[in-house]
Amino acid sequence: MGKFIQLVVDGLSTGSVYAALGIAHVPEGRGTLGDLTVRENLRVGAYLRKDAKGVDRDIDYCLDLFPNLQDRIKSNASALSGGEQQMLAVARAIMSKPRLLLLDEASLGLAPSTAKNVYDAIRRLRTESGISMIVVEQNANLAFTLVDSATVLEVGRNVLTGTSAELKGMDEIRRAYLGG
Amino acid sequence: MATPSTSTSSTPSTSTASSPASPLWQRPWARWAGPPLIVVVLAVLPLVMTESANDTLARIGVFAVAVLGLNVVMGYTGQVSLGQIFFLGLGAYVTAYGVQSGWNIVLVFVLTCLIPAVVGLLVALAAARLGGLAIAMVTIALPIVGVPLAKRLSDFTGGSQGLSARFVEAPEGSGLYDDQWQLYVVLVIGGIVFLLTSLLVRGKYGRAFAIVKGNENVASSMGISPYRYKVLAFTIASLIGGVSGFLYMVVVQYTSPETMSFGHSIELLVAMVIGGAGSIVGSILGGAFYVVVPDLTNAVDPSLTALLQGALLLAVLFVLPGGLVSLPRVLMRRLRRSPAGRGSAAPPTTPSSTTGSGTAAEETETERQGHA
Amino acid sequence: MGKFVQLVVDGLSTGSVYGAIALAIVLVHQATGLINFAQGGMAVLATYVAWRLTVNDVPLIFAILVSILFSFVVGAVVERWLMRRFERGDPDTAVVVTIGLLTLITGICGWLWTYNNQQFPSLFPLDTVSFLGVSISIRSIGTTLVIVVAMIALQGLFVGTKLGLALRAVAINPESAASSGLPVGRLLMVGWGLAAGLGAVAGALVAPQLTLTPGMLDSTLVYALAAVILGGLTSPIGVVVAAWIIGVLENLAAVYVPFIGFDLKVAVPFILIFVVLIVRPQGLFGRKVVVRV
Repeated sequence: MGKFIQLVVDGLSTGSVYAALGIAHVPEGRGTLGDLTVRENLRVGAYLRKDAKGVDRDIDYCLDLFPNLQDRIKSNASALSGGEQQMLAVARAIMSKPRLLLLDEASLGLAPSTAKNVYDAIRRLRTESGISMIVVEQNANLAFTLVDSATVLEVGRNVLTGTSAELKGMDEIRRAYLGG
Repeated sequence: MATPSTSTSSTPSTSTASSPASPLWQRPWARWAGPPLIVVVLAVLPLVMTESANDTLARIGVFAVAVLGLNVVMGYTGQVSLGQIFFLGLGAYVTAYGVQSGWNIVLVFVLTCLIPAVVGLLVALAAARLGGLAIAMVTIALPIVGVPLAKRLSDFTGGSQGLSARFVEAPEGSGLYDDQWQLYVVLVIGGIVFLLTSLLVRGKYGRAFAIVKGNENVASSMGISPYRYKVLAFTIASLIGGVSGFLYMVVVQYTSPETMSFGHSIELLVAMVIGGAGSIVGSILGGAFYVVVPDLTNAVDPSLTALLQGALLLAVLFVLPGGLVSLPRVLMRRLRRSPAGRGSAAPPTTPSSTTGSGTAAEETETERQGHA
Repeated sequence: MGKFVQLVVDGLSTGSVYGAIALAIVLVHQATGLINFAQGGMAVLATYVAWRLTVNDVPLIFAILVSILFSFVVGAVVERWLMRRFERGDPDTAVVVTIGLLTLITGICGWLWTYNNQQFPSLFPLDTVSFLGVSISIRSIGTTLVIVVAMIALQGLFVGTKLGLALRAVAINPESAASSGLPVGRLLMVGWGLAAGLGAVAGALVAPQLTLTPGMLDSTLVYALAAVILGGLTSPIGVVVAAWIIGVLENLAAVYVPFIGFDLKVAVPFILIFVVLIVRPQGLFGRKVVVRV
């Protein structure tokens, strides 16, 4: 019987394992529910919660964190731009009040300024809520604005591990990833 | 993500040359001697069997051809069609009308090929544009509209009474009985249709059909127009359906609106799947199923027929998707696997399987690649 | 003029029945990606259950409600144990499975309750009511109203409740929905159950007129599929409107177009389809689906 942190996982889909463990996954490709409105997407994120008032409060918080979503609150998610959809995906993920947030290639397909906005908001989220995060990111510059420590993988192999400060200082990293 | 797939080779789809005991019918001498043997058997059979057995065989032949037509569009090209019985009925009516009007029998046969083909072409031109299950949804109209139409056009169709035509009688000097002669006619014409069709599906058209069936986007990116080939398949199916209608008149000598009813339409589809979709031999099995099973269940308890057909269809779809024709192959694979022990250890790929390599127990700093 | 209004009202009534089955088909397709050719058959089975109850002197309303519940359960069970493995696969195979289910259900009904026509009591009186000098069948109005109310109720469920939100989310992207903790399997069962329940309503309403036999809704299925083609699989409103149009037009054609008459009015939806699709391949209301290669 396969167990993962005291949860029997045989036969469960990945999604339900995540949900049961308080892990929120923002997948590559965002997984936004296109035919639902922004507000409805957020409500889906909060599906497992029982506290209606808390959910409403958190929706307001998300809209504060991501002002762009406030303007589009009634639009269908499919009508949003790439950056807005990314923000929506992150907001939906945190609606479940997760213990751990998994961010998968959050900057993918976004213009640099948009990506920066997204990461700024996530950084603010991190400061204000203290959620633990695991970030998969090809854009090292962006990643370093957010994380304390990092692992560099090359073709799936763990090549370097260290704190952001340490890694940023290393010549190899600077040359390969930071354009310096 | 860790290593590439760790599974061992999955079971080969065809028996490989290296396997020691290849099936009986694939051995070289069988290929040589097989067809002539079959021809001899078929030539002798009608002479030795009883009249009712000949009649049953002839009917099986008729519906084997009908099922074959359905297979062309459904088994080989993957388009669900509920209209095949309509083309059989249409062919039967054309035959009956032509014979009653005293036309030359060759002309009648040609018309019975052409008219259903043209109708099928028109239907397909419209329906195939829709994509998806449109052909299924539209062909369902054919028997449903066909029956009242046949009743209405009574000048041509004899209305609800239907039309009789007896035109296949053993020639004077042959010393054969009518039923034997009829069976020969069915065997010859049916045999030719089977032969031509099998050449078609083994050639480049058959390959194109298979690609369209598998993935239409891939087909069009290869320059194979799904639309064109669907229309082609449907037209051929209709033509074959018409021929089966001709044969129907040869054997049954009577047709009515009931011939192309919705119930029969479904029964034909059921027969095709149970016999074996996408298979020449399966079509023959399908024809046998269509004729024999109702005969049997009607003897026992007529109201059980539909129930049994539905249950059998579902059973086949769950357990033996390739139809009865695939039974020998499946059985042999099972027999071959058990003494050899666990062959392929390929883990089942559930839709949500995670590539959970390097999971849980690692430090939280490790980047998790490979997500669901 | 009076005749015309009668035909329209009757057409709306039969169109509502087609629309209910069509809507059920769309629901099931949105949730699980396949077309259920047994949708009508399942409704007939439920109607037989209601009929057996009324034969045993159970009040009609009660019998119908029980049959709706029964149908819900059957729908859920069929999804879970019959269709689940065919759901994300080849749609044509799934259709053949539903055809097998249709045959099986028809066979069960025929075997248990014979193929003879059975009388089913009517929920509405068979009188007519006079409105602006035209006499209109109460049953037609009643049928239309009940089905419209049922559809509005369903719509309310989908848009206004958490369950409805969950059903929609699962239909759009089951994996994404699962990652938010939605119980996808159970929601699919509920979706099928709701569709089947709607079918049961339609069956009970139309049975008095058509008389109950195992094949009672076979033609209705054809009309429903026509409505689906015309309205587009992505548009619930579209198929309902298309169904009404079909119902009304076929009645009008039966009377005003001599060639068609009553026996050939079943051809009307297909003439419609032929005409519409030449102009607009995606149906009247459907969206063009663009596939990025």
